[in-house]
Amino acid sequence: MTRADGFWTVFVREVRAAIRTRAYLGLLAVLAAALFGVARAGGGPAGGYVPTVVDLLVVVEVLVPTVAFAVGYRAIADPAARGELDVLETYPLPSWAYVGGVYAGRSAVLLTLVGLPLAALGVQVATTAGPETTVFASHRGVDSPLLYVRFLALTLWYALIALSLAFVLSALAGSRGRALVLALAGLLVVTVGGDVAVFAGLDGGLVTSETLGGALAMTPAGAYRGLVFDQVLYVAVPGRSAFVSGAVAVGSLLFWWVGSLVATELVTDTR
Amino acid sequence: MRPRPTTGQALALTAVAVAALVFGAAFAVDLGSARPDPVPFDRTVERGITMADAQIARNREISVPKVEVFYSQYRYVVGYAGVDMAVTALSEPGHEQQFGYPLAVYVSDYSDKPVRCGESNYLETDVPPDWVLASDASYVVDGRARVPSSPAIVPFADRGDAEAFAEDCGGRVVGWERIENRSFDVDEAETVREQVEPRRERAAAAVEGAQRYRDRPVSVVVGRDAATVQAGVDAAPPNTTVLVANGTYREQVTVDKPVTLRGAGATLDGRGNGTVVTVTADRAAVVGFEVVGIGNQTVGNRSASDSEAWDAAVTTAYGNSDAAVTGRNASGLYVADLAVDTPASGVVLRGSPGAVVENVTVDGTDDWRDGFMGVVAMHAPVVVRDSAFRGGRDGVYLHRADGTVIQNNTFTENRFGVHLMYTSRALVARNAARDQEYSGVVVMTDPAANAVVGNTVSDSGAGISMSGSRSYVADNVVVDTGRGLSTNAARSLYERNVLYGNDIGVAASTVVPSNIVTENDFVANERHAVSGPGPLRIYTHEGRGNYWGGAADLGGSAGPTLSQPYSPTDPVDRRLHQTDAAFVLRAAPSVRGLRALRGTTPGFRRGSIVDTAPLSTPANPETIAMLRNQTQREAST
Repeated sequence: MTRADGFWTVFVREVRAAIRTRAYLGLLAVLAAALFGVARAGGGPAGGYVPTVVDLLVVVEVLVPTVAFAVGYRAIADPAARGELDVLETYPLPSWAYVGGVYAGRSAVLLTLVGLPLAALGVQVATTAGPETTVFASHRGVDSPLLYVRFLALTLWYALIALSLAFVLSALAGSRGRALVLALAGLLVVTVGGDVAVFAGLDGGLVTSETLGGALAMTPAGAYRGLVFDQVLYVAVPGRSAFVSGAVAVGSLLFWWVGSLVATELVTDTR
Repeated sequence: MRPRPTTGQALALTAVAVAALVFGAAFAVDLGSARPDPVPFDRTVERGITMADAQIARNREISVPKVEVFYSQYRYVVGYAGVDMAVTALSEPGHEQQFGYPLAVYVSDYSDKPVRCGESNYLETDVPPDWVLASDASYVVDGRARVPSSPAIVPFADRGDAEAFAEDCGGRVVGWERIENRSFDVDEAETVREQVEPRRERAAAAVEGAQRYRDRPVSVVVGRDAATVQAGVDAAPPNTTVLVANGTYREQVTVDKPVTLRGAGATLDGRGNGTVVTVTADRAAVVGFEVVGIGNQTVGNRSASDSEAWDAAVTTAYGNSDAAVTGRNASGLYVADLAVDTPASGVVLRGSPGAVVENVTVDGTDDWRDGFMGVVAMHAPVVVRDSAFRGGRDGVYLHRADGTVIQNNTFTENRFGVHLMYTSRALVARNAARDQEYSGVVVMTDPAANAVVGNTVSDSGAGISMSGSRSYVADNVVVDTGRGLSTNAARSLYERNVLYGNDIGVAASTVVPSNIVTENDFVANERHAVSGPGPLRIYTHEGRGNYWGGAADLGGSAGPTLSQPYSPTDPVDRRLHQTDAAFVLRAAPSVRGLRALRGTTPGFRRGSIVDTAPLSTPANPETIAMLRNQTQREAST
């Protein structure tokens, strides 16, 4: 068995397991209902892609990491607790291939859970957003489906990053009980902690007007939100463009993503 | 050796590659470069010109330079008749917040067109102009060329053509950057507010002048010196009074000299045959009669006119309605102290500038479809005040009667109380209308600079229905109507009105939101406000919003405004005055989160209204207290 085969085998096993898990269907339904409900209540889809993104941003920022943690919080802790990792030691399967395979498998699940409803919402905007009357000539303004595709891409990436963060905590946990507690703590840090820390820093003088953009871009949520403003919502706020430094935000997201995957691998390896 | 990937692996790799490609492309495309192409002007949301001016332009073949603007956050293309109108709109405060920035501005291009300043220097061309980007055009300004309402600014794609036009019609050639930063003499709603007092004073002066006709010396007494009223008028020298003694006079009278016809307990009876008194001279007066037996012809023969004016049919039809008194080119006509019972109209004033109608009661038909207007005034400003109109079609009907003042009248059981057609710069003040079939005050045909102030409308189909632009609607009280106030007049100011107990308080109906709505009181309406098509409207001006019954802060509010915004179109907010449970839902994190960012994209939002600084106490506390007491009294009996 080659290493790539090992990765693939683990990946397929994860996907098959997910397909057997009916609860994911329920999660998908609830998530879709929440996203469509929020968008409908906000009235965005009737207006266009940008207003829809504006309506979704707040809930997506909370829901996406939550779903990512739900999908990933036991991904490493469970097999570790069952002693599966010890068994795997006897196979010619390097831990990176194992962690990578599990991550890829859960990613496929997560991307489906998050991507399907968001893509469906995009289709809804495409079919419902339009002028209320055809008496007058209309145009799209600065609105564009490409902006929504950008939002989708950024959100899916953010989901993957949240999943990798969940993986580190899962690897550190070692038991199911601890995994849950660690995941909840991690989720709070990701969704609220980063922004609150920057806010406190601003209040305490640690962060200044000059460094605010950079400080925000360091946190996963801040970097994601900054990029959404930078790449999507900028059309709605003319005259503003430097929300966060794009390079810093991308670098920071890459750091959290790759860094936490490497960390997961290292922790798993030393067990 | 590397084994060949399986189908599953190939699919997975392809999926990842396709996703990377699509997402990568979405970021690579530059979205800012596309510029929309111009559209035909009649497909735009038109602003800036009154229907009367548009009719004049069409009728006399005047070419009005047009502008069309594509906004980044507004779905419809907005058209402006007149470059000055467009520039004024583009520089309005808050304009960008509401519509975004202009993606493209096009102006009429008169290059290579046979354009000239024709009759009365009106701009004329036989070939309609094309479009050119505003920033690429050269403009001829301050020349002789005119459009109906103002001097013309004439754009050309080619600077040489602009210079040639300036040679012919005067003026100088400037670029867009000079036009863009120019301020134009356009009457804004705030200016109209300042004109309310001057208009009132002008009306008072007209009334004072007309009242002097009461004091003309008596030259003839009908019943003593003359057998009929007509004989009396014929015998009287100018500037005297024909006194009509007690009694009923069955005749029709024509007054063709400046005399005062004064009754003392006299009744004029037209025997059901046409108009009773017709005045064709200036400075005449008809005072103190009961008038009955008016003919029942409500409108004249529309096709009888040979005039080429665009409104000839209306002039002929409505101007020939049977009435108690008709003035034809009778400037300064004074009609007072009449009691009129009519199956058609009460007083008809055609081309009679400065005519005054006061202390007249007109009792029309029980069903408005059978009768006609209390007062019809056309083609000249008049004053109608201290009069009472019951039944019939409209209490006062104005057609192109710019500058008319309608004050302190009562209207009961009409179709409309006051009805403005093609009439700008009017003042409708302190009138009381109730039991109107359709509306207390209605303004149609997009006039400009009207003031509707201090009126009371109750128990009617609608309260005040505006249209046009740059108007001032203030201090009105509208109670128990189907639709209190419709704000279908653009760039207008609506302040300190009370909307109480209506099915709908305010119906926001302009497609382009440009009104200032502030310090109005919305209490006990089924729906405080609803919004038609078009983007988000912000009902706050200079940090002051409106008073919305039901709106409140959780912590109680100490300041003059609430800290939480209020949206009368929001499904939760609009129930705050109906159920306290709405408070609980409003405090939900998801509901709060959803609202937080919404104001970022107002131009894209449809059909909603937000007040960002709702008042914590009513702007008209006494009126509200009085109305509340009244409601309680009614409920307890």
